Formats: sequence, C-alpha cells, structure tokens
Amino acid sequence: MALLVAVAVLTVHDTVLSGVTSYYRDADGRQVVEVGREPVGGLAPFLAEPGLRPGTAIAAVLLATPFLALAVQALRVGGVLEQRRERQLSLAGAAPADLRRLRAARTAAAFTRGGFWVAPAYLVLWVLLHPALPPGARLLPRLQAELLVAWPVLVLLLRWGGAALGALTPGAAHRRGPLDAAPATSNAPSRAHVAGLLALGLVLVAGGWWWLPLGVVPLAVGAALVLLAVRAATRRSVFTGPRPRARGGTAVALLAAAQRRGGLAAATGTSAVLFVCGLSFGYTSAMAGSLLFPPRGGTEYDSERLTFYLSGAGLAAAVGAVAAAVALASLLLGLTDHLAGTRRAVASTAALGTPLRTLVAVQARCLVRSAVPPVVAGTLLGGLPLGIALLATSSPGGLAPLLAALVGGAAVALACHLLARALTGRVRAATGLENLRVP
Amino acid sequence: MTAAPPIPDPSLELRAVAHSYARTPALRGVSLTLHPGEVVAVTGPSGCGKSTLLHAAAGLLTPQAGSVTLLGRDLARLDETERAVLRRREVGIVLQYGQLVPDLPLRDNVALPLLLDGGDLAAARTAAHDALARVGLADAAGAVPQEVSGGQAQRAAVARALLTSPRVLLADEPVASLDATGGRQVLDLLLDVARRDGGAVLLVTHDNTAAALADREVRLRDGAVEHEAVLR
Ligand SMILES: Nc1ncnc2c1ncn2[C@@H]1O[C@H](COP(=O)(O)OP(=O)(O)OP(=O)(O)O)[C@@H](O)[C@H]1O
Ligand SMILES: [Mg+2]
Repeated sequence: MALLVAVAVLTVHDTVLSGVTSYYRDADGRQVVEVGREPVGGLAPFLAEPGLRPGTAIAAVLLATPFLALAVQALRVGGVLEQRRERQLSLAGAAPADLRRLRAARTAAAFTRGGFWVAPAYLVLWVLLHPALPPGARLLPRLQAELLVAWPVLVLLLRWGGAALGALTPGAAHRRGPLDAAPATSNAPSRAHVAGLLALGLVLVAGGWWWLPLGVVPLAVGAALVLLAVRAATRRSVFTGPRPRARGGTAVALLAAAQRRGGLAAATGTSAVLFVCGLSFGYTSAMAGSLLFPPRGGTEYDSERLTFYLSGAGLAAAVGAVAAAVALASLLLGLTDHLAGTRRAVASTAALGTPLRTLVAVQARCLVRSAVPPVVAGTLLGGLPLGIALLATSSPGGLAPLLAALVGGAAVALACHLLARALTGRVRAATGLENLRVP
Repeated sequence: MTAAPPIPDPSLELRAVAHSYARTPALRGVSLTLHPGEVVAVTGPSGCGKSTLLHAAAGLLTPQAGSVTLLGRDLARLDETERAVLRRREVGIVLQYGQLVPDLPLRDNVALPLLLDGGDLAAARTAAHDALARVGLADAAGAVPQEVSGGQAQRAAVARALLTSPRVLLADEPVASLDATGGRQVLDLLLDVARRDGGAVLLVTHDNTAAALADREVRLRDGAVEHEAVLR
C-alpha cells in the first residue's frame, strides 16, 4: 500500500509540478507547443497554451485522484481482520499503548517494503508515459538523476510516515472496551474518508470558481463531493445506503447482502475509488465528445490546431486508461479484502452444502453491487455538466457521457464477474475448514 | 428354515480412514459403520480426532487414506459440487464452531439449505420459522448470529440441520454450550431423526449423559478407536 501512496505522490509531483515549472520557463514562447518538437517538461505545452491550461490542469487532477483514492482504499485493506485481532489481543490483556506500538511496527515495515518498490514502479510508469507516447503527448518528463537520491530518502520518509500513521490510526476496537467494538463503528465511513471527500470537493469548488466560466465542471463536481461528504457524515454510508438489503429472494442475493452488511467499510472504500474513476471517465468522455463533434460556431477550430487537439485526446485517453486500471485494481483489492474478512462466512456456507460456483457468484454479486452504481453515478456527474453545455450548442458529442456511463457500468459489471471467476482459487481457500475455527 | 431379515445398507461407512494435518496425525485408520435408525456416539478426550472424523464423514475433508461411503456413494468419486449437493439435501450437519453466516438473520441462516436448492423465499422462511420454534428460538428469528448467545447459535444450527429431514445427521458437540434442560430438548430432537424418522445419527460428544442415549459408543484415543460398546 505504501507503494500505491508513493506512486500517487510521484504521479502528482511529476505531472503537475514539473509541468508547472516548465511552464514558467517557457511562458514567453508559443512555439513550444508546436507538434514534433520535444518539449521540456511533460505537460508543459498544454499548460503553456492559455486556452488549454484549465483543461490540462483538470486532466492532471483527474489523472492523479484515482491513484490517491486507491491509496486511501489500500490503507484500509484488512481493516476488518485488524480490528478483530486487536480486540482479541486486548482481551488477552494488551493495553492500547501496546496495540499502538504493534500497529506502528507493522505499518512501518509494510511502508518500507513498499518504498523499495517505488523506483521500479515509477520506471514502468515512465516507460508507459514517456517513450511509449509520441513526442508531443508525453506525460512525464525525462528521467532525472535526482530521482536516485530521492529514492532512499523516500524510503526513509515512508518508514517514518508509516510508523506515525500506524500509531495514529484510531484503534476503533477499544474506544471503550474490547467487546464494545461494535460492528457499527466499523460500518461507518471513517472520518478520514469524509474529510478526504470534503477536501477534494472544496479544492475543486475553489479551482472551478477561479477558472469560471471554464471551471463550471470542477465546480459542479466539487459541489457534489461536498454534498456527498455531508451525507456520509450524517448517514453512515455514502454509496451503499444505510443498510444493504437483498433484492430478490435467492440464496445468492441473501448471502451477498449479508456479506456487504458485514464488510460495509471495505465496500465503501471500493465504491469511493470507483466513484472517482467514474468522475474521470465521465469528464474524459465529454471531452472526447467535444473533440469528435466540436460545438458549432467554434471559430478557433481549424486544421492547424487539429493535431493539438489530438494530443488532448491522447491525454483524455490516458486519463480514461488510468481510471480503468485503478478501478480494476480497486475491485481486486476489494474482493481480496472481502474474502479475507469473511473467511468464516464462506467456510460455513460451504460446509452447509453450497457449491463453489454459488460462492463465486456471491462474491461477484457483492462486487457488482458495490461497484456499478458508483461508477455510473460518477461518470454521469463527471460528464454531464460539459455534456449539457455541448448539447446546448446542439453538438451530439454531449451524449458521450451517457454512452460512457452505459458502457462503463456494463464493463465494470463484466469485470466483477471475471475477477470473481479468476479468484475462484482464493474463494476455494476461504472454504477451508480451518477457517471455521477463526472467530 | 427362514431367511434372516435383510440387513439394510449402511448409511455411512468409514473404512480405515487416516488423516494428518501438517504436524499432527489426527486419524490413524478408523473404521465405523452407521445404519439407518441407529445413533452412534463418538467420544474421547479433547484433540483425539472426533471433529476430524465427522468432517471426513461429511465430505468436508478428503482423508489421505481410507474410504468414506455416505448413503451408498463413495465420496472420493464425487466432485465438489456433487458432495455439496448431497450434503445439502440428504445430510444435516451441526459443527462445533460458528457455522452460522455472520450478518444473516437466524431465520435466513436456517432457510439457506432450501434457498440454495432454489426454494421460494417465503416458503423457506416459514419452514425456518417452524424449525426455530421447535428449538425454542421463535423470538430470535430476526437476530443475526453476532447478537445471540452461544447456546442460541447452537440451537439455530440444530434447527438448520433438521430443516431438510436429513437421512444422515452429523452433529459435533451439539449440546456443549446448553444447560441440562435445553441440552436434553435438543438431544431429543436429534434422536427423533433416528427413532421416529429412521435416519442415522452420528453424535460427537464428550458429555457422558448424552453418549448414554446412543445405541452404540465409539471411543477414540489419539486418532484410533480405543473401545466400542453396544449400549442398547
Ligand atoms: N487445521 C488444522 N491444522 C493442524 N492441526 C489440526 C487442524 N485441525 C485439527 N488439528 C489437530 O488435529 C487433532 C484432532 O483435532 P480434532 O479437532 O479432530 O479433535 P477433537 O477430538 O474434535 O477435539 P475437541 O474435543 O477438543 O473438539 C488435534 O490434535 C488438533 O490439534
Ligand atoms: Mg472437536
């Protein structure tokens, strides 16, 4: 998980910061944006063009936020097991301070391990986003020697950060006593979760306000996020509603609903990441729509700029691809976390006489239920503001977000089923009889 | 000269079953036969392999050696799905450890075997409700397993095992966390499977009073049969 945090941080740093600095360096020259010429920084040419600056910044933010959301989700993975373990330790006599020390030691170790993987991971990302792309569309700057120094420093920082994070994570399991650790506390979205939503929302609102009238999209999305955060703070669960209920009376439906009730926190994490991915995806689709069917009466659209717009489309596609990859990773995390947290339920259901096929179907249904609605909602929310603006100029491109929501929802549902199928081995492992002996 | 009455095929037959976990040998060649209408108690000190024996009998665990024949079918020859279906339709199982699905109300937990067979939700819930009432849990039908006491959860598990009128009932310490009266009530329900309905009952227990109600007692020690006694 530290790896994810670090990659997210690096992505933000290199996409946004290096782009901005090179923008300052090249602020005077328009020729920088000429296609075919190797630009200095990654996103510099887009940022150097005043008309594109807000769009590029939005794209960069959209590129980075799914990663951040995924990192936050990764931090929560295993939370159910963790709480259970801590409850038992504290029943065995561990004081809160002991538990804090244990947690700190474990997270520090995990973050250090992750830190070592940062450089190889960044290298892979760089290969994908620099040499693999045409010169005008490169999203990351050239490799710099400083990175070699930054790596060990980052590992150290991550180690300390991990320890601090571990020590500071509120031990929900023993706010009062070990047995008071009601499932209710683990079901509520964490404060960090709500605060994250709120912060992201406020940043988008502020940014959107600054860039009005172009910033109408981030403004709308930000406002929606703020609303969601408020709802989350008041109604326990943002995306899944107060209490998942089974629709349809089949065994699969009942079991899936029970599993989601048990792992609401994990499911909410998955949902949140997918919602953010949906936002990226929706906005990207609207952008693509506006490129394919430019609004009528747009005087600026001429062949000289076409190549330039195509680079923009490349950027949009990159955002979409990143969002899709993050969504997949999030689903995978979600499913493995589900399985780890519900081993006993799976084992007991299997003992009763449930074929593996049915158990896999339960997992798939759980995933679909926590994945598809947020993706669709996010896509619509991210794409509709721009889409409606496009439709107002009677450009059919405005329909792109609707199409994207449809395709995205279907793709995610399919991915859920395929993932559950692919992880049949894990499900089988969870049916092990020894899992009946875990609390 | 009259022919002897035909001996019915055994409901469950274990032949020289042996199984080891990573470090511990749990069963070393246990044979056991269970006929329809018969109640066999498996007793023995803690850790002697009673639960392992029951898991092998249920097809939850494939023993490393020996064979298990359940209702005339060699479990080793069935695939996972066939074993699951056999278990769900013909066998009632009460396990020693938490076997209720967390976060699922007792009512639905008990109804699961019917629902898994594609049964109608309303009908399955009605049947589950009756079964819960028989073990004295009518009032707790809406509670989830985390909210009920150990004895209540155990009774719910018994209700579930009885729901499908099984031909073979495998029960691992079904009365371990019940008081004397409640335990006797549950035992009577379990014994009814054999005495009234002609099913076969394998009762794993360390409780001598419970064991004394069986037709036969098989005592294990260190994974082998130490002693076998006909009680009635
Ligand atoms: N999953 C496992 N991994 C390793 N060893 C195991 C496992 N399950 C059981 N054992 C070991 O196998 C032996 C038999 O276990 P089993 O659960 O069958 O005993 P038991 O007779 O049911 O005991 P009890 O009366 O305490 O329930 C024990 O020594 C136990 O430690
Ligand atoms: Mg046992």
